Amino acid sequence: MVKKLAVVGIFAYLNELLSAIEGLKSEKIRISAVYSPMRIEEIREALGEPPLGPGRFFTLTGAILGAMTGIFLAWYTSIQWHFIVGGKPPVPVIPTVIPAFEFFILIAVFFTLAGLLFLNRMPKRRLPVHYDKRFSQDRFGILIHCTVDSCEPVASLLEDLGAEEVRRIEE
Amino acid sequence: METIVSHEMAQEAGPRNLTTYGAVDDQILGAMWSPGGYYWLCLAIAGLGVLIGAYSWGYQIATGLGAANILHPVMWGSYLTNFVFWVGIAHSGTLISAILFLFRASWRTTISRSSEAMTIFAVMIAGLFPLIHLGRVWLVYWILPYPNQRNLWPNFQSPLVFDVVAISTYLTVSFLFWYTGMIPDLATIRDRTTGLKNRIYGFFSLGWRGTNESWRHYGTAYLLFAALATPLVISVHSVVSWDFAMGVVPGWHSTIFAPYFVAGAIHSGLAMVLVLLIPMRKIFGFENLITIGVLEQIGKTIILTGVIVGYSYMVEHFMAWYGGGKAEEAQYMWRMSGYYSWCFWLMIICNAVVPVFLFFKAIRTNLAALFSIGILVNIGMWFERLVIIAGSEAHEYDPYSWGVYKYPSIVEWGILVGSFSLFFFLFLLFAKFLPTIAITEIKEAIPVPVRQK
Repeated sequence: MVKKLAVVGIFAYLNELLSAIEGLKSEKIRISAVYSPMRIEEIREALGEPPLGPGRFFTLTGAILGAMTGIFLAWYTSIQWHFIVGGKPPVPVIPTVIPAFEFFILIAVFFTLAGLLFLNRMPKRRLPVHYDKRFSQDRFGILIHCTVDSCEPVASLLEDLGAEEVRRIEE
Repeated sequence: METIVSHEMAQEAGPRNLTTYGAVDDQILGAMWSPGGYYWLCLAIAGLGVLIGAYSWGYQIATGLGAANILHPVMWGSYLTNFVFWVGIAHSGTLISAILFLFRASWRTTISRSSEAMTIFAVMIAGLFPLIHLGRVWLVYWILPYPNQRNLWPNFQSPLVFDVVAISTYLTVSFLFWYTGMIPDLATIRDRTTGLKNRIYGFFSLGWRGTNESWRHYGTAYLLFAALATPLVISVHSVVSWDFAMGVVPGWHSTIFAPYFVAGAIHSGLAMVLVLLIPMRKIFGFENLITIGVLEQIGKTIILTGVIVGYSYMVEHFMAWYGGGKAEEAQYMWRMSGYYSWCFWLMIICNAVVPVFLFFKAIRTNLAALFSIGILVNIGMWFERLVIIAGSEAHEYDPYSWGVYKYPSIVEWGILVGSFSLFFFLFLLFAKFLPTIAITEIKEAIPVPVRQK
């Protein structure tokens, strides 16, 4: 299997990370990932990403399926019970709202979680080779995949842009 | 040279004396690794209470429901009182984690994780009470919609089945919301541990890495979770209230029940947050995170819910008089002057009068006063459920069928003690093994490290 080459720049300060992202963009170098210990809006804006991910479409699908499941369950079980009481309709509408609503929420939440896991390629048993444990604590990181020829210039550029440490990785 | 600039999320009621991300990890995780002597003492006391509860339930299973003082006409007695009480306690967690998140109330940051945990444990305990009340608990699966020979299904037109669906949905959603919010923190713990701990936290952090894409999808999911949990939390206690409001029992059959129950649930839940967090901040040394400012905000919210609850009490009584229904009117007169009148007046004082003291800043910022108010509101809310459930069943239409529930038996007290102990026991275990404060959210709330050139 062919190994992929990558360079990881590790940063201690947010402003240096943001300038590095700008610098890499101006050099037209593709950033594979930016690591941070928490959600930071400034990173998202620097990368030009929209605020919301596609996970919301998973939620919508789950919500529709959930509402239909609730209605189906309430009506199906009602039809199965052939016992008309007091002229009440065998397939009621108003009481169906409650199971429909609850299943709407429940299945939407299942799909939201499934969407999150799918989009983030989780769960994963092993962390990638380039991952640095400090990324979940107090350091920021920029990952750039490169070729044999381009790795060294990218590494030098990251050092120039303020990375406190630059690692060359084969993964 | 390192300088710190203020991040826009840094807030008035936010964390104090934390300037680096490393310090956040050290403080929150340090409290987990070595919680101190008081922690073990509290855990032992709670564990003893759990054993008392388990023994009491075991005794009831062995001897039958006669061990409880539940007799006609008050067939729901203390067990359903406890059920509604615990479902109510569960409500503040989602209020704090979801509703206040949507409203961008940043003071929730340090208390959201604990409140969510409180929600989950309270719903789990609430879910036990219908089982305890069943008597023959091994037949509980009859309520589940599974295909069977006789084509018998749960009746989805019944409020009791609505309740099963609502509570189980609430438990599932609350758990997933809590767990999803914790994944990045579990990864932080994974990256700071070795050996078995590393493997366990690594397993539950699902391989979280914290890339820009991960955070974006996580942010979207968290927002949607909050958006879905918000109507759910309102619906759950509304559905619980319909267990009563859809019955033609004087004192129950009222359209005000849904908002009245939701307000009461949040009222008791916030009071329980005070009761839990005030000792917790001391035991774990979180005074700089769960600041007086945060507790004061909870106090202000209790004023709001207390006023709504007080208003609901007045409206109930006004409508009973104005509506002209003789049985309804008699029920409310009996509530104020009958067998359970002391419970009624205790409820009024604890739930509607005591919170008024929170209008004074000196009270709102005094820990002993806040803790005492938390306890009193919880006592008041438990009695509110007793007054509504036992009081209404005891005094229906026909004097021939009147009768009273003579308060809990020793077995019921044992189960009540067991339920509180289990709640605190689970919470203490949670505090030992999982971060009680959302690490990543605290990092968002403190100044960002910036190098000045």
